[in-house]
Amino acid sequence: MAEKPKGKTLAFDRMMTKAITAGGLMMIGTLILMFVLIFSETLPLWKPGRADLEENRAAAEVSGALAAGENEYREAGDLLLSGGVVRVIDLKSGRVRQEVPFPGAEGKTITAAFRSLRGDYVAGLDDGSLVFASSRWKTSFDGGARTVELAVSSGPKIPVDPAKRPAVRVVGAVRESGLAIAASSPGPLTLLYGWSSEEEGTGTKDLSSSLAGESVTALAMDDKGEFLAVGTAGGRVLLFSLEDPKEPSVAPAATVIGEPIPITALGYLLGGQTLLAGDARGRVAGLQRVRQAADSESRSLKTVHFFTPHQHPVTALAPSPRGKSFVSADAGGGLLVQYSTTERLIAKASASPGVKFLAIAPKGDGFVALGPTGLATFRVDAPHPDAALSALFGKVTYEGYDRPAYVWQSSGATDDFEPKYSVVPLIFGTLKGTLYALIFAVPIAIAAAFYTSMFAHRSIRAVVKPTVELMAGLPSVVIGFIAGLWLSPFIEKATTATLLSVPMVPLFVLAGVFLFQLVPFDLRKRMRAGSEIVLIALLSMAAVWACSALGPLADRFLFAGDLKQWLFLHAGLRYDTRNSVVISFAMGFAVIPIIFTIAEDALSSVPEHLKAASLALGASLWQTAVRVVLPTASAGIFSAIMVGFGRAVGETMIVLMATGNTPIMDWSPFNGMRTLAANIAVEISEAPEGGTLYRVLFLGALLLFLMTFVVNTLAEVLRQRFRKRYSVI
Amino acid sequence: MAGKLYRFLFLKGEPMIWLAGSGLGICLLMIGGLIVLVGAKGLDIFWPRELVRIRTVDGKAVLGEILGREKASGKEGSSKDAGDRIRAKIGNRDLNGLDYRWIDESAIVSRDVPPDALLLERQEYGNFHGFLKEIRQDGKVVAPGPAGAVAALREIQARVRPAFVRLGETEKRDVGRINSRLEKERLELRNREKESGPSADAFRAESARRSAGLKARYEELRGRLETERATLLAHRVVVTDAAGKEKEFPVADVVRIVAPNVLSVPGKLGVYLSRLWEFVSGDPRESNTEGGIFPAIFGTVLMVILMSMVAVPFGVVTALYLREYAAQGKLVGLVRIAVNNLAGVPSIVFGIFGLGFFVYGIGGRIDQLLFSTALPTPTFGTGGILWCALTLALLTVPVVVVASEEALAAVPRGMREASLALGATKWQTTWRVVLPAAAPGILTGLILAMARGTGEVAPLMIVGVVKLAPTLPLDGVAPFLHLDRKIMHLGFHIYDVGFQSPNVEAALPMVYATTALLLGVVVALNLTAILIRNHLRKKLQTSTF
Repeated sequence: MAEKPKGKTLAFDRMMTKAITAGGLMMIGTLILMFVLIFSETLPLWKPGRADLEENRAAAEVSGALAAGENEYREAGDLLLSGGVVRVIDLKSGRVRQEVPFPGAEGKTITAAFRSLRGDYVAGLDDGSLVFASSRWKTSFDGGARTVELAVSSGPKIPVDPAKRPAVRVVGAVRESGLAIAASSPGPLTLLYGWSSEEEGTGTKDLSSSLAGESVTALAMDDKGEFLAVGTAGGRVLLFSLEDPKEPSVAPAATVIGEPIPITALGYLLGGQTLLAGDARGRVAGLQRVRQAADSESRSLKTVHFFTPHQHPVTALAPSPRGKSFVSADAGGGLLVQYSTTERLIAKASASPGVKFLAIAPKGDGFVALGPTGLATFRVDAPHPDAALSALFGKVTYEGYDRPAYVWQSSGATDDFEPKYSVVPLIFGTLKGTLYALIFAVPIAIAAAFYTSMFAHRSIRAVVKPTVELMAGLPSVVIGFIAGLWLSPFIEKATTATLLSVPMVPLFVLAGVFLFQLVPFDLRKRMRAGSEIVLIALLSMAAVWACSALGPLADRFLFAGDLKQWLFLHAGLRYDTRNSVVISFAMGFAVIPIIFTIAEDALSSVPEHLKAASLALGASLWQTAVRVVLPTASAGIFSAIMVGFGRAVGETMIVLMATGNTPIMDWSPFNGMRTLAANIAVEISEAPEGGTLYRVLFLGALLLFLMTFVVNTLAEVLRQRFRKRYSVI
Repeated sequence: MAGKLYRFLFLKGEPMIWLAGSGLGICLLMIGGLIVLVGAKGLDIFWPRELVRIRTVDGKAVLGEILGREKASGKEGSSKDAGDRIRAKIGNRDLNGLDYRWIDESAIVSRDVPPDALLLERQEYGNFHGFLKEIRQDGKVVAPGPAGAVAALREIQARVRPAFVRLGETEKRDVGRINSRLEKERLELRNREKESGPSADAFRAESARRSAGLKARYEELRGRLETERATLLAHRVVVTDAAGKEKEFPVADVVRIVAPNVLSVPGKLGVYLSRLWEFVSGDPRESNTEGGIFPAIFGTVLMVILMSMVAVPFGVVTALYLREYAAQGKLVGLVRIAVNNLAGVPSIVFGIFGLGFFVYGIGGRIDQLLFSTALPTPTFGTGGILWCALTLALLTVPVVVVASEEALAAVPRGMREASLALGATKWQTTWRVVLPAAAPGILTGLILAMARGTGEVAPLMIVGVVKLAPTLPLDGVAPFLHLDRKIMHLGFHIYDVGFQSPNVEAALPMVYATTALLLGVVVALNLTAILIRNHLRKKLQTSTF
């Protein structure tokens, strides 16, 4: 009689039961954790931004201010006062820190002012002249304490109006050498322009004749001084090219909305590619210069973005010195912060009505609004304005593009680069890679599994299964390396032969069967059943050899010497060395063994009695295989294809190494692609933690996760059902 | 006749069967071809080849190993045959700029195999192909060439080179030690920055004194090493290339001296083995394109061991749950779906999960709690061997689960029942009877997981594998095993050297060799696992009767 276990032993046993159950359930936990973590990293992308009022200074220090800005730490603000003074105030306390006379405005009154993204000022004086002055923040550190000072240096003074009318609107920009300045005066239909250059002095020009009878309601100039945009009361935008600064040329006017509503505010986004326009009905639009026809060089303004409108007429508009966001104000005091590329409304805020000047802080984390009641400062918290569902999955007319497109281009060389995060080309690339992989792998894997389970000799099966398992274990980096550096140059040299071998191998094998029938029956009988695989392998090799001989011949006689050139000339197909044909073959190494193993499993687990019944009724082995076994195992085979799909979707190294990783959308088999998985591998090292790119890459991973999750779960459910059904018979 | 054809085609289906068989044939050819290709390319590169002197019509001469020939493709589909061209490795990167060159056969005037041609493998600038002129020491000729100088060169190189290498190692070790202590002082000082009072002042003074002492020792050490190095570098070899251009470099820079044109087959075999040994045991040179890959092998092995220590227990516990403990039902179905999904989720997704969860999540928190003084320089909040191992462990758990389940299923019921009938508890039965019986099958799982872990690259390049790691994760400085260090990895080495090198052509032989090694290891692991399993299956089949 065995001794009863002691209490301690039993307690330990119970504990271990719990521990093991917990361990088993941890698999579910891990999967959920993966999903939750990846999902939660993408969540901040959708988080709305905020714009909060920090301070509203109605005090005397700000009265008479025409333009304002702030430094990068958002602690000091600069104000251009109508009295001809630049005043620096402490934004926290309102204390005046510094006061500098505006150079060139001594004894005059400033009637209109403009402040550029870099902090340069253009002032319109009451004598009809325009004065330029650059202002820079100077920050010095003294043992951890920061002191900030504004340095204002004088620039040229250009008397643009001989009639000495005070300007109401001014605008200007520093050009490569010199500067360009424009103004409009209260008189009807005035548009005045001035330039100065280091070599040729200064000059002025009256552009009023181009207005075609409409009065000027808004002005804007891009930060390189290449274009002058003029908004009119008739709802049109005139665009002057300042390529020759002395002779501005006007392009055909564009209507923003198509209705004669006065344009009330204009502004160029950072980079000078997108012009923002606000009108008297509160609508805000983004315009770009696009080519009218694919072959024409001339570009004209076209409205490509329609932003969230205001309730009241737009009174002021300011672009951000960082990125593609901007803020606009309406007559009712409503403020909207939006992002151009994504047309995303980042935040709403309100100030007292009548805001006439806006400026976004150097780091884009806040803005100042100047109105009749004073200076209001706002803090903006917009972690990911450059991401939006519409831009991630939809077409966008990016800067420099003529029509809406799906583009992935996460980084550029310049500061004013517009990040393009469309995951559509990546999804396309993923599907393209998968499709090409499956086209090659599915027929081969299933044929091989079918043959192995139904017709192959036992001894062959004993070799084949471990070999295919070995194939499944091949590191994808090895396959990718061979595909990228050995196979792709090889295929490039022998493209025709490679393509020929696709029909040639089965043709050779078929021819072989018929020839084999000529062999006397007795001799054939003596061969071991199932050993035809050796013959088949020899035939396949012969076919490949024949193709390598035929390829150059076909090249010479069918394709005028070179298939690649022929394709380009006759079909417009470009040939890349690392292309989808290479991928198709290389991914075969990864996908075939998976499909083979599962399909073979399914075919082999078809109950023996079904086969026996069919054979007993007089069906041939082939008939049994096709009519009985194949339909029975179809669910399992389908599940095998799905798991193979899952593997192909997520394969990283092969695609990374054997394609050019260009995110193009083209089904051609002769060029590459960029898949979601390869994209993560390429870009993650460039993505700072928590940035938009980082989170978009997590979104890519989430898409991959979901795709494979759906496919694998479905496959597993199918398989479980299949197993249950045939385990009872 | 038609009936016979119909019978042949559709009733017996012979052609169809053959077609299906061709699928299998292609499959087998693919894998066989890949293994043969990689093996041949990878193992071939260490074999010393003859140095052929080629004189061309333009009066130039090069000395190189001939690697292959091909038909020069005529330009723009012209039918004129441009003749063959040969590809040669001409070495002398410092003189020629390029290691490899195509030479049109029509331009060749003569070729011969000079017996006194030498191949010097160097620390920098790759191989030198040429002729020995003389050896100098401190500017004076000590061994005039060419006849007697080769023996002298071999003798001096055998003395100087190891000493030079040792010097470098000493420097790295000792200077590294002093630096790590200086860093510790700095951090401690920063830690107590906020404190004030006499004890803190005393500490500061003490710390400054210690730092000064360390710095003095550092200077002294460096001075000593400099003089030693100067004596070693004073031995210089003067060589000429095929065109007669002279070149002088320190003997200490010469890694290996080969006179390939007078080598016998056993001699060549000796060079082959010596190169092979350098490949697996040496440090990389010339930004990974030459030398050895020992750090990558070491990093891979250590990471896989760490990974197995996590993956195997988890996999076995899950398998135990699925086979021994769980009541079959919905929950088990869910666990199976989870395991299958973990096996099916793309590896790059594991990588990005590892980055978000391990590196920035857990690692970031560890840094805040334990290494806050070092911030903003991350310790665990950046990629490292621990995170690589954990990420890969997640990836390989399903492999262990599947193999362990099979092993558990193979344990006969009778054994369990016997144990339970004798009064053992379930855990005692599992631990003393079931697990030992299933151990070989679990071992299969372990081996398969190791094979998978060895070959996986995509997730690792996100969570801590780098191109060149200055230090190994295991060394003589406490705490010996540095879980936070970044590592080198065989698979990543292939990707990086093969695709990110500025001079891919020169790097290719190295990549082929690494590929062959990696493939060899993975294939060997897989074959071992398959053999063990087949053996087990056979045993199981006989034991049921």
